[in-house]
Amino acid sequence: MSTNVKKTFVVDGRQISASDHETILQALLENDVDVPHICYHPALGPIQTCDTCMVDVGGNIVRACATPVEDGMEVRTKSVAARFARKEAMDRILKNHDLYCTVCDNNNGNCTVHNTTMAMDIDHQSYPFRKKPYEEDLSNPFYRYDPNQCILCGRCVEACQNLQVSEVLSIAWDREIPRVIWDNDVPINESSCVSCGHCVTVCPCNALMEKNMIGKAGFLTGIEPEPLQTMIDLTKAVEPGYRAIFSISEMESAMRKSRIQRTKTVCTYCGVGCSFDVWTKDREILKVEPQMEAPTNQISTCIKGKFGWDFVNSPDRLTKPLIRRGDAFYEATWDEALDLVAKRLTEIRLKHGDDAVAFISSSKCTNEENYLIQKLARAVMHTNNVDNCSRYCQSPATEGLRRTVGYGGDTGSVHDLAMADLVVIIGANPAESHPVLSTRLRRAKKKYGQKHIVIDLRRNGMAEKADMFVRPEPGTDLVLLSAVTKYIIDQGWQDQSFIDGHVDGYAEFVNSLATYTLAYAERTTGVPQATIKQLATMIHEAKSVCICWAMGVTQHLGGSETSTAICNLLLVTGNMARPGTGAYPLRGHNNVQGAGDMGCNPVYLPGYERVDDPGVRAKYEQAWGVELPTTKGLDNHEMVEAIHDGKLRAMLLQGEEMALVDSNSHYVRDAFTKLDFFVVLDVFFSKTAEFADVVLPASPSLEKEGTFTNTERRIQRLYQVLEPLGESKPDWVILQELARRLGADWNYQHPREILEEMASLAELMKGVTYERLEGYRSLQWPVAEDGTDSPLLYTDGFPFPNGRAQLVPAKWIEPTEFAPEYDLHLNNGRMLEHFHEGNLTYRVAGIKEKIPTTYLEVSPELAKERGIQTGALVRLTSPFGQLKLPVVVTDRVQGHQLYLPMNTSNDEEAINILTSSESDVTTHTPAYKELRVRMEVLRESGKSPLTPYNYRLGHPNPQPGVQVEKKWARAGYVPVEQARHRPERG
Amino acid sequence: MANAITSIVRQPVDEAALAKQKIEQALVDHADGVIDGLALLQACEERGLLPLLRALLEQGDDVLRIVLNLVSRPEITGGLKNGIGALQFLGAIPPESMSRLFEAASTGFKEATGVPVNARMGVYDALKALRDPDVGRALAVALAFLKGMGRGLADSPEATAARGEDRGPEV
Repeated sequence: MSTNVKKTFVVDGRQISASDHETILQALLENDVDVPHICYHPALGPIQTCDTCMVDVGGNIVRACATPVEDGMEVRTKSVAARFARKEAMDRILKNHDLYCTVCDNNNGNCTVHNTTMAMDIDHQSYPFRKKPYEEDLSNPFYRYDPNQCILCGRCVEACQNLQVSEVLSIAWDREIPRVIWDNDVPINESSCVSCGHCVTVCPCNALMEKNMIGKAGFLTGIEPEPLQTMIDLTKAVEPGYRAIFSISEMESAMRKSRIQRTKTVCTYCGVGCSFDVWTKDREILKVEPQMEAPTNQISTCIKGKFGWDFVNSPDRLTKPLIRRGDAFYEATWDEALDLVAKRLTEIRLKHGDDAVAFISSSKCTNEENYLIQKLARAVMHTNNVDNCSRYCQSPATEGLRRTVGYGGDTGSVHDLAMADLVVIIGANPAESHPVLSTRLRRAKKKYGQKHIVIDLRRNGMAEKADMFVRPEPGTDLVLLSAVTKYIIDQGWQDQSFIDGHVDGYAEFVNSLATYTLAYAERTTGVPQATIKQLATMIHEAKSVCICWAMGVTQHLGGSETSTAICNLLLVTGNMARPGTGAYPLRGHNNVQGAGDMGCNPVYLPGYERVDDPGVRAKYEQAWGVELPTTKGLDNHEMVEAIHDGKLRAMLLQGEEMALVDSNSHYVRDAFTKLDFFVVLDVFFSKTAEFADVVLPASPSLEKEGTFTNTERRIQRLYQVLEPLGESKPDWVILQELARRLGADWNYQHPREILEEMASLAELMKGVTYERLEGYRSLQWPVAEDGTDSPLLYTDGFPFPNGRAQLVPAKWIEPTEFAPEYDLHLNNGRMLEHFHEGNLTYRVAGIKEKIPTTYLEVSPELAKERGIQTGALVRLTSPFGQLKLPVVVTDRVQGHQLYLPMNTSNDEEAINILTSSESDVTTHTPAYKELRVRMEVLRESGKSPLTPYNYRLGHPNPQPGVQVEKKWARAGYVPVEQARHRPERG
Repeated sequence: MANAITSIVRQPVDEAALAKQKIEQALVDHADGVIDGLALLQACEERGLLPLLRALLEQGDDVLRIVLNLVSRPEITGGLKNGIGALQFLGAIPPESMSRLFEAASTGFKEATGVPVNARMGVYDALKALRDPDVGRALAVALAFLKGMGRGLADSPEATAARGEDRGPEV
């Protein structure tokens, strides 16, 4: 890239310099020269449909958005011809858009059409507004399209086709009066639209708008439609020109600010870490508005981040502490509940010892809350029995990275993923589990030719368009990866200079690969040798490679081993520590990374400093003024065992639905019944809470301040959007009040003090302060004391004593064996619309309308074999439990492999009723993905569990983009700069 | 031993007490404002303003509909438009020239009142008068005004659009 080359040109007599490849409009905007523009959006680039940015270049009238700057160019923005062309363009826009700003819900100071009309000082329009012959589409539960307000700029189309790349929207230019259509012109709700909200976010007016806004944002917009229309007509009839009208709508817009709050928060629905503004009126959420300054997502969101927050006002929210007495829970005061918790925990500790009490934290809670719970465990209760739910997903990935390259985190940023030559996605389904991250990959592929290799059992969203899609036998990824690595080395394709310069253990590693011949790999994985060679060749030929992985890799007996093999492959090929390369374990929840970073782990204090290191302990003992436990604590998995063994007697669990999301649910629930005392902090009365003795009502992310750390190791601040509902409290407040009752002298006034205490102790986080995280600012750890952060790791060597990475031989562990009667493999994962066990998202009406339940995916082959169709009902039986599930027949799965989305809290359908207690040998992450079942048909056909509003049933309409050429080719089209020469225009 | 249970016994919520508590708190926080506000309310009540406002608000939608129906009648919209137009017209005249014209006109009136009621004038008197520099100045101004007005009456894009003739391209 040659972005440093500067060009100089003259605009209205002023010298301006621009980078290479910049267009006139970009250069003007960078230099604060105000030129009108509507269709241009910095996240989308030039679209060229609106013509409002016309400028005069040497007598030619050109679009500033699409004309590259040339050295010495002379640009006049104020020439008569340019101004005429812009006025003509605006006239055409206003013909398509009724200006009723004062009574428009989009009149919030950020309406591009309004602002541009005003900036151009348009007082009258030359062509009268005319309605289009189409009805408003209100079918989607979250947003509407009003063709009558649509200016046909195509921003929505560009966003859908080339940023989100769902390829649903297009403009039907061939109609007499064009409009935006979904798929091949079906109602929005019956299209392949995933409701990500990109189109709504980029719409420059009110044509696409969040339904939550309608009738609610303005002071006058709630008036019934009929009198409202009369008012609009009246205003038009007497209108004295737009200048006067605009002053009134500006006043109204300013008044709205007094009752609509805009607050930045960070999304909690996956590890990508999208941040955005939430608009609220009292407790009502009007909309989510992502901002260009958001470091990871800019203007991108998915259905959950954009539209999935109504659960905060659910009547099911816990608003008072509950205490178990006999066969019921009784509402109690905070004092009663906390006194009881403190008393019982103390009694049990005195009677059974420090390690009879354990704490489980949550990757949904903030860094501050995670820090406090491990401090509570260690400093107040004197035990290392503290863990968090990343144990269920990502611990093996962290382990693989720590062994080989040093830090347990993604080695780069989403930015690196977007610029890579080749991205390998193995055992991950980012299109549904990390939606916004997947948009960056899809965009890179569609616009810039990035290559994708998908390795998965199931033909997931990314596999559909991948350059290569490989389906190994379940549980054999390590063999495949090792064979690829061996083949690369056998061909002499390894990056020898990188290895010599930065990597230890090469010879021993090469020896460890001896068994992974192509023939062995083909036999074990079922992947043909030619495919393995092709895979290796693609990696070899790519200039930069990233590998993404997730639960498909980690949730196995050998999860840590396979994660290690991935890192080895990257090291051998030199794909580390360079932009566009690296290892990306895709964290599943908003704060998986942070929960681990904060020391919610039986062997680590914050910043991955080991509890068995006396120096580390001494530092924390001095800071906290206590003596710390020296024995290793229990992880989640071991805690369940210890309860069954009678060693663990009491547990406090915050924000985790362990009764559904830990594997082998019956076994876990049995354990809960054996506890002497069980405390659960949650937003809802969860399945886990049913087993508790005390349930404490917690506040969700929108009701508190704090920080989350996303999959890029990026720490971001969330601000309080709403007051805690009822008597609920943020977890950090609850933990502090409990700690004080347990004798601790804690007095944190604000999460800031907690995070800064942590930063003063953990070497990794030295420079982390709330000031450096203000607004949309963020820090990617390690953060040096001066605030320098690390978007890309290892550019200055690896964090081992000699600064070199380590190749670690990885061993294949054969997947869990099942008796032959369990003849089908059952895979599981997420679906886009729901989060986790669904306690939050099934309480969002629109999401529930679209996806009311989970369902079992059965291959066409198996369906034929068993004589069943979509809508059939089957019973699945594993050695550990039984489920009754509705069937969807789909070729996303093949042969005797089934797929069950995990997103349900219904015990008849929840995957973990079936899973075993087997786990990764190193980290004890449950082997959720190693499961075989038998299937019994209860009903051969029936009503499909999919509603017609499921995007998976739609038919996308891929287009290169807006296709403005089709507009220009329309009969009767006159370029705006020529309109003045038309005879009828005088 | 704790088996899973789902029944929750809620404390009866004393809505009245909660509301009372909220109100009392608000009174404490805003005592001065509340006292002033009460005085204002009393004054409104005494003047009969409160019942009027209340009725208006309670019947808001109906009243709005009636007002809108009334106001959207063509003669009213026409009147409103003319009113606004007249105001805009006045605003459009440059104040300096306006005052000059007004002063000139007042001199003219003065002169005019001096003319006997039954005074007569022949063609030659008129031609003679044209040679008068004062009359010439006034005529020049009047002709210039007519020329400007004529240009204003010519077909403007806005006027064409208002008649719905030039509808422009579809996109």
